[in-house]
This record gives sequence, C-alpha cells and structure tokens, in this order.
Amino acid sequence: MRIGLGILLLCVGCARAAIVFDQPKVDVTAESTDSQAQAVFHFRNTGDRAVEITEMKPSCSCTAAQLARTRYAPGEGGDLHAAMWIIGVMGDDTKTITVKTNDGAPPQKLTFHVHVNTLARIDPEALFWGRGYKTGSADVHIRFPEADEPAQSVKIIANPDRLDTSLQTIEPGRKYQLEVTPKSVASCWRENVVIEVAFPHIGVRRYTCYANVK
Amino acid sequence: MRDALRILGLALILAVVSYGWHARHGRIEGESASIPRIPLAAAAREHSILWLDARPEEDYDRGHVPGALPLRPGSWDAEFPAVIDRWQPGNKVVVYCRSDSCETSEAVARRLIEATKWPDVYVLEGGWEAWATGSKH
Repeated sequence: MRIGLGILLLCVGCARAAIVFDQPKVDVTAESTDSQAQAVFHFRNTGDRAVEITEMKPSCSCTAAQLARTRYAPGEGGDLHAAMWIIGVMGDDTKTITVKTNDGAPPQKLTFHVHVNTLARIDPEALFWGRGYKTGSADVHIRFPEADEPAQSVKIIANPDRLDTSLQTIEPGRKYQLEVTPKSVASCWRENVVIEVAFPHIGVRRYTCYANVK
Repeated sequence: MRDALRILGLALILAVVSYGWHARHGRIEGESASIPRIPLAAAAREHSILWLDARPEEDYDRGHVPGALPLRPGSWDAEFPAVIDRWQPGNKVVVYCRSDSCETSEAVARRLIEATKWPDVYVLEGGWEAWATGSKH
C-alpha cells in the first residue's frame, strides 16, 4: 500500500507537462511613450490527450494573460497573449505568469521581461537640504542614454530667488551635470527645477527635479 | 575516482573565489539588490512611518493604511510630489501592495530610493493582506 502510494506520488511529481512552451521567457523592448508591452508565448500540446489550461496567474495586477480558448487537443498549438502596463516604468521590469493545467503536470512559470527605453534619466529626482544647516550645492546627473538622437538643447528653469543653478556639459547632447545651490535654508520650502530638453525629431520634453529644504 | 575528486576540488575552489570576489565587489551586474522587508509588528511599533500604497487606484479607494499616500509606477509624476512634501527627515518609508506575491511595492521602493536617496525605505511583509488581517485582531 505504502509502496503503491509512493510510486503514485513519484509519478505525479515527475509528470511531464504535455503543454510545452517554445520560449518560457520572452524579452520585449518598449518605448517610454507606450502604455503597455505585449508578449506572445507559443505552446503545443505534446501529449496524447486533450489538455485544459485551468489557470494563468500573473505575479502582478499590472499584467494580464489571455488565451483564445482553454482546451487543446493532442498536437494542437496555441498562443498565450500577455500584456504588461508599463506607464511610468523605467528601465527593466520582469513579471511572471504561472500556468496550471488539468493533466497533473506541475505549474509552469513564464517570464515576461520588458526593457523600457528611457529617454532621459534624472538622478536624483529630488534634492534635500536640512533647514538651518549649512547651504551647500548638490549635483543632478542628466543623461539621455536611450534616445535615438542627441538632445539639441537643455534648458534649466528654476526660481532664481531661491536657487542658483549651473549646467555643465559632460558629453554634448547626451550627458550633463546640473549643480543646484539653495540661496537660503532658513525656512522649509520646495521648488521645482524644470529641465527642458529639445530633441530634433522627438520635440521638447520637460522633466522635474524637486529641490527641498526640510 | 581521483580525477573526479580533483575536478570537484577545483570547482569548489572556483566557487569560493567567485563568492569572495562578488562579496567584495558588490552585486553581480544586472542583479538588483532586494529591498529590506519589515514585518507588520515591527512597523506598528514605529512612530514616524510614511506609508505608501502601490496598489491600483480602485484598491486604494476601497481602503488603505490610515494616512498612506498612493504612489504607483503608472502615476509617478502626479503622485511623487505629495510624497516628497509629506516626508520628514527621520521617517521610515514603508511601501505595500496587495500581498507578498505582488511586485509593485518592490518596484516603487526601488525607484523611490533611486529618486530620493532616502536611507530607510522598506517593503511591508505580507502587503495589504497582512495589514487587513492584522488590524482585525
């Protein structure tokens, strides 16, 4: 009895998935202006019985998975369509989709990796000075690592009553360094430092760095 | 047999050297450092926490940790200024999403650290589910 149960458990544990995905990991590149990235996971039922896909569970509510239907005959193929909402995502993001079937095979994990081309990187996006402490300058690094074209111009807009700013070109059209110095840190305030970038074809884009005295 | 042992020994030496190198030179390229997690009990003991809710808007509207501000990747530009305004030096920042299986809180926390260089940013262990369960007891 015990041996039989053991063999049964062993068989369940070793059950080979009939649904086989061509690529369990899909890499996608998206633009920062896109609202979602899409991926297709192609699969085939390699078993000798019809299989039903019973569950597709994304790791995040920002990702959705969809199938045209759930039951696949032996030898039949299908596509699992996945969509990831990427508004505000910078750089790389990875989500997983766990797929369960009714054939006793263990759940399969699909990986959806997206690289969002980021036009500009402002580092840091916020600067802080302690109220009543010594006034000092802080640097903001401005880069356009994935823009297809170099920036034509970079303009800084800040309240001159509160802040001194100085922009230095490190690599024309690609890398800049902005030095920000508060004129006084006697009281608490926040000022927006707007970085206005003009690209030849993309047009003008505005980014904000927040200068704060706390 | 002797050759097998020799290969095994060599592999072990290489593994130890590789571990030592990475330990000294930080994380492997492309690998992102994970954000520290804070259990609900530990967070509840803190007096100056800035709670950030990384769940979708409809979930936030249905209920959130008292005083929590929304901050989501999709509406970062609109919500980030309010977070900066609320933060005070000495605050611990705790980000949560639905549960441990969601990944948005981790992404928001990571971007927040990059954007602000704040030293104390955590992800709530168990997320909103832990809070909702914990607040019932």
